[in-house]
Amino acid sequence: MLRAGLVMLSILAGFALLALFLRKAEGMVLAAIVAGIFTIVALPASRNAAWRGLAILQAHPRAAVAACAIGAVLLPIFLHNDGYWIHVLSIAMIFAIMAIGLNVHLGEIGLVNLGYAGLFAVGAYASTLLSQAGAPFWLATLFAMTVCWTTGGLLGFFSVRTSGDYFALVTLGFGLIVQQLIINLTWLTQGNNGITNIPAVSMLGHTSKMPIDLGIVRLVPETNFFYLCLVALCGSLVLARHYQKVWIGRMWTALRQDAIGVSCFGLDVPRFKILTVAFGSMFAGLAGSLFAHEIGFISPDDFTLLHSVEVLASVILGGIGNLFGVTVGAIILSVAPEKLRFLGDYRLLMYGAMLVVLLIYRPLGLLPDPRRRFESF
Amino acid sequence: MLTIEKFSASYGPVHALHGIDLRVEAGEAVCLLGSNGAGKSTLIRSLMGLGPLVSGAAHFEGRDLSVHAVEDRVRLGLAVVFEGRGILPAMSVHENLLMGGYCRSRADIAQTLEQVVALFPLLASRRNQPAGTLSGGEQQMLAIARALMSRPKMIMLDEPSMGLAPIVVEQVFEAIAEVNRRGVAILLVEQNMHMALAVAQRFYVLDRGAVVLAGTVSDGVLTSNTGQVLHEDEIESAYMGEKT
Repeated sequence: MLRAGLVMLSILAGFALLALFLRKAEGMVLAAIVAGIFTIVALPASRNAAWRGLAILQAHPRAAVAACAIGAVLLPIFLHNDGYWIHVLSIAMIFAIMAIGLNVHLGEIGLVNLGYAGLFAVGAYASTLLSQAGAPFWLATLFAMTVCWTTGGLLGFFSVRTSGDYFALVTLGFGLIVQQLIINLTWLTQGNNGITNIPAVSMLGHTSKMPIDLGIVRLVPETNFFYLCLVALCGSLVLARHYQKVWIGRMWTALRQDAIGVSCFGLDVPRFKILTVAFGSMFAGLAGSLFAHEIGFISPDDFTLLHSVEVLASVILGGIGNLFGVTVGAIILSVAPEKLRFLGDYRLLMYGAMLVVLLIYRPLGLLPDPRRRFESF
Repeated sequence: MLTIEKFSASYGPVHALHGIDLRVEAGEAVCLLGSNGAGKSTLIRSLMGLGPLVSGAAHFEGRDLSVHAVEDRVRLGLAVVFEGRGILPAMSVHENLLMGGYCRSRADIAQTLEQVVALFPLLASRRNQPAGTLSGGEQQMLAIARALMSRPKMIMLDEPSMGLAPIVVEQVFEAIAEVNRRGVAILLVEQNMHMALAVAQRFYVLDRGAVVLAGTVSDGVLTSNTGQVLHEDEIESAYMGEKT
């Protein structure tokens, strides 16, 4: 009981520190903190201490999850109502939803998807077009998810019957095709100009452009989307975790190890793979819809190959297959470039160097998936 | 139960099987002997729908197998234990067994699991252990137990003795014989002729993709289909490629 309380307190303190870090750490201070974290990761002694800390967290999963939820809800207050960082974190959570979806492809059945931004684009445009036609946000989102599910199913249908590498090429082509279609179908997408004036989300008379008035504090309008993304992220995590635990998840594990063996248990492997690809693509619809309404403006530049690669990088960096790791990886990768702005033109160089160093010391990602101890791939 | 007629298969220009005729009756144990490259594994893979079938027909309980995909053949009552066992090392013994029952209903799985574990008690004590940590013999037992989970009418086993110590081979073959006594037909592919003939009621010898000798076994006496009484070393020379 006492330990669980300590776990909760330390997690909450962690969130407060995170907020402080995001708002205040700049220049040399930031460099010192990042260097410190890398030392912990690299030095065996400090790494062991960190693992012991993590083990205590894992011994109290309920307290840890509850504290994480409370910490996330309180984060806008920890951030002193700073609209900029609340916005950055919302985008990071959207990115994390994409990483969870891509993890279904890459992590669960080992298919490398190089066109996830294409699916993200399909979701964003589908939702925007419906929303501009007057549909409420929830309906537009549901529509985007359905469209992405179908698109993913078609992608799978045309590629999973052959070898896994083929899927990478098909999706690479898919991502490029979607971008070209967006640029050229000007009557629908307004081409390179992008779509502006995407309606605000409104619910029971409260719109996402209004501040949240709680009496004591008045939270900036950005907070609306922060909470919306938080709910969507939690929902995605719960759904993806549930699928890992039931028969489907067991089949995923088996399929990764031995596809021929699995067909001899009576599973229609191609059909199962197509449905899995469709399921993973659905998350892109959710993320795309949130993204379009959060920014209020979408253009083909938001959905390039680089974006696909970034999602892929966050899954690999976070730890393929581990939902928690993938989420953390995505959030780090989308927040890091913002924090590295003080480096000016050297920003992307440092970003790349960070990735390389991390993968040298943790080749299976920050938080590797414990289920994969006995898998050799 | 299983009848194969003029069954031919090839990998591109390389012919692996030419015109095999073979049958397995319900509840019977039949072994298929032959040296490396004789086409034994190809035959099993083709029967399961995983290999290349070029011409000929295979019927299981009167149904033409060629129109059924792999997963449907499992539902018809065919099961296979692959060469090298093919267990899922990262999953627990229990999960491996559950996977084998994928095509059955849930209530059915629970019931079958009980019967299978009764047949292989050592698996019960290893229930939550990752299957990759079992010994070779235990993994082979697990592979057979998992094949039983789909309640097959016939099991095809590809080289169950491979890579096992002689005493473990004996345990595995005892288990196979017990499965057969419970009414499951068995098609056993083996190089370990002596052990295979101890379990089987009939045998076929395969050489370079064709059946060169066939016969029956009863109480250790081997009789060819032409009525000749054979010695084990005569069979051996048949599949080593010499004329008997």
